[in-house]
Amino acid sequence: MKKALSLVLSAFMAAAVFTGCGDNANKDGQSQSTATGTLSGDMEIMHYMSGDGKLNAWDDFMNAFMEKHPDVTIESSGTDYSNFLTLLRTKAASSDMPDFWEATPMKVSDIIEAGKAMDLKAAGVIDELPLGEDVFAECVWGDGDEIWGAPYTLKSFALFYNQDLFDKHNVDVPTTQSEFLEACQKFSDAGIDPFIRANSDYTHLYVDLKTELVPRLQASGNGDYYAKLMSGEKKFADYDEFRISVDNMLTRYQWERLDDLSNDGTAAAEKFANGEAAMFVGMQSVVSQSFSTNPDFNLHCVPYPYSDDQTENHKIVVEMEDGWMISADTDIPEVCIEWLKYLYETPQAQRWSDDVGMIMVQSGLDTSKQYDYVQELTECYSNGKSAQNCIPQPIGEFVQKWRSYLQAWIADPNRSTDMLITEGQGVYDEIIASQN
Amino acid sequence: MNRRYGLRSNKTLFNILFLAPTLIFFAYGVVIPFAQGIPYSFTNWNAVSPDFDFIGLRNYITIFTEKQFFTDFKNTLYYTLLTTIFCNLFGLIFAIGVYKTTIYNNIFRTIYFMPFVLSLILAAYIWKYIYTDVYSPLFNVYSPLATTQGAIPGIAVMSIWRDSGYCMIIFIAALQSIPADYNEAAMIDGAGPIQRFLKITLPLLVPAFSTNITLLMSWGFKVFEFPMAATRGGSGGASETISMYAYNNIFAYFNAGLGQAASVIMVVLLAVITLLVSKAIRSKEVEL
Repeated sequence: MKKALSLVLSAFMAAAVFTGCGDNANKDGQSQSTATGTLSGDMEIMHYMSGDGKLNAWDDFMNAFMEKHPDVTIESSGTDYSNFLTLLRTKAASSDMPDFWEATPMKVSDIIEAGKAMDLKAAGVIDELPLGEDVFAECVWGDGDEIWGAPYTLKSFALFYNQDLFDKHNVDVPTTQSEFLEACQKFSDAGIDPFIRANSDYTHLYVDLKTELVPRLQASGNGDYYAKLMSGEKKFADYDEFRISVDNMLTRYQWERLDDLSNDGTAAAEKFANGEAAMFVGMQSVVSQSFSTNPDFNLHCVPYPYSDDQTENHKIVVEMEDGWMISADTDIPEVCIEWLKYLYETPQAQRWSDDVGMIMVQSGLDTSKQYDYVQELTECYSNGKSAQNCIPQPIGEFVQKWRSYLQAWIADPNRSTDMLITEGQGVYDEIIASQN
Repeated sequence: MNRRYGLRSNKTLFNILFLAPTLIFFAYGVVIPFAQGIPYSFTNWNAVSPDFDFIGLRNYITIFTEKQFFTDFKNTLYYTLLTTIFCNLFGLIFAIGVYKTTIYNNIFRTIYFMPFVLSLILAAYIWKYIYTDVYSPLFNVYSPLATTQGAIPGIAVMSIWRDSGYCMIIFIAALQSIPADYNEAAMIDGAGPIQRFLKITLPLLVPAFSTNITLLMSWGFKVFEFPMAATRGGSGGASETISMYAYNNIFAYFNAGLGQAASVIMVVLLAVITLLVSKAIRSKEVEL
């Protein structure tokens, strides 16, 4: 009896091995429109959105879409941007691409070359979106004849500040570099940290540098900076803009906090909202999270004032890089296209504009309900006080290895501009050599 | 004779059936994918494109001439050394304290073992918070994860905190299997507690050490979750390990062939080092 029972149990356990195998029948082979024309299917979405405003709006969009199309199911998963592209590539490598994802075509060129992204122009989608042709910068969204993604919002980088702290300590909002350093010293003397930083993620550390570097490069006509560095045609030492930006960055770093290198974006936003520091130099997507901690946060922004005599060149940095792509292999292209068009419909776009704290690519939206700092960013963008980030941008090893080195450099007590120029160049030289 | 043969073959059949699920999983999830990946290590595949070329041993040569690989190998070795030594040390101390079965000892065993139940990612986030928002402001120092010198020890602490309980369990089993007669006889002969521990207990614990060291070395060389969740290889690559090197090359740098080659090298190194260490320790085992 016992032996028979043992045999049955063993057979059951062996059979259980195979129960997890097999296709995900819910994803594959799902028809996308029934005979009556209603949409149906299971759509998988991947994104890197963060912050309550975005995520709550996104959830509402999905629920409303599913209500409108009862035979459609949407499964959405997200991760932070630092991991996102790697995860997307993991899925591409395992032929498990999501149907719909958030990305910039420029940064997933390998996925496009492998034929895994839908040409939205060929699919006739682009003409149905309320976007002007000027938003589709070549080499970001396509190569002219093909368009691989639809832009939605702009990333922006600026000097963000806590107006309440400025008012409390009688500090004027700086418009020049001298005023800026004076403001930092005043705060420091009053026992307030001038800056909060989020450098546990090297992306934010690089953005700290880029907020000054890009306007300088664009003002001097060196918008092809990355391209020339990645090809080896030029070196960091060839760019005075780089040297001056690093010098100024090191000047800012005389005011450091112990948690500069251990805060991530969320922790930095929380501490900023709690009044632990007066300013943040960097990405608006970080500070937009502050309102989860403090809904009444008196947040404002200005272009980073990097000089005393070139105030006309002080600009926020923008990247028209947040957008949507559709898988070429999706079994439900009509559902994905319908979802894409749905996102650009005025109610959704307006909600996004109001809640999410980013500059919208789509024009004609009412900006009066946006947070003050978003209105200020939008005004800068509309009035020519913005500098588009240099394109093409670095990808792959040029991003991770160089920024990883930047993190080691900023943590080095003996850091200097010359050290960054020399050793940072060494990182680039190694990558270029390995690719040749 | 036939009956004895029949009983033996039944026993063999039962053994195979009970081992079958695990072996099948292991083969399907580890051995076969690994074997399938080896040919890619001789190509320039970028993990996504269907087109790639055979490039011979170029990936292997690149790895052995690249500074980053040796840095990551050194980081991995350092991490493994720290975790192996201190997990065993704390595991043994805990085990000696609680190996006798009493109500209080049972409670403390549970407490010491509880961290092992947590996921690696959760443990990493807990310690990341402790370092940043407790340790750093309390002692007015940088978080160890933010410094190049402290990144690996900082991550090793996470593992030591989590895995010492597991080592404790192994040591408890070993301590409880040591006959009491040996210690009693030694006491009668006038041996003190330290002498008894060094001359009787410790040699008889060598099999437990062997088990723990083999496991910890294996975990240490493969470590990925802790540095990925806590530092992403920072500060500036100071906590990047061989697993992360392979992962970054495969998924972030479009060098899947190179990453696969790194994985092969990692497996070979792990097998060789683990075999050598296990052999050295087993030679010290004392039979009861």
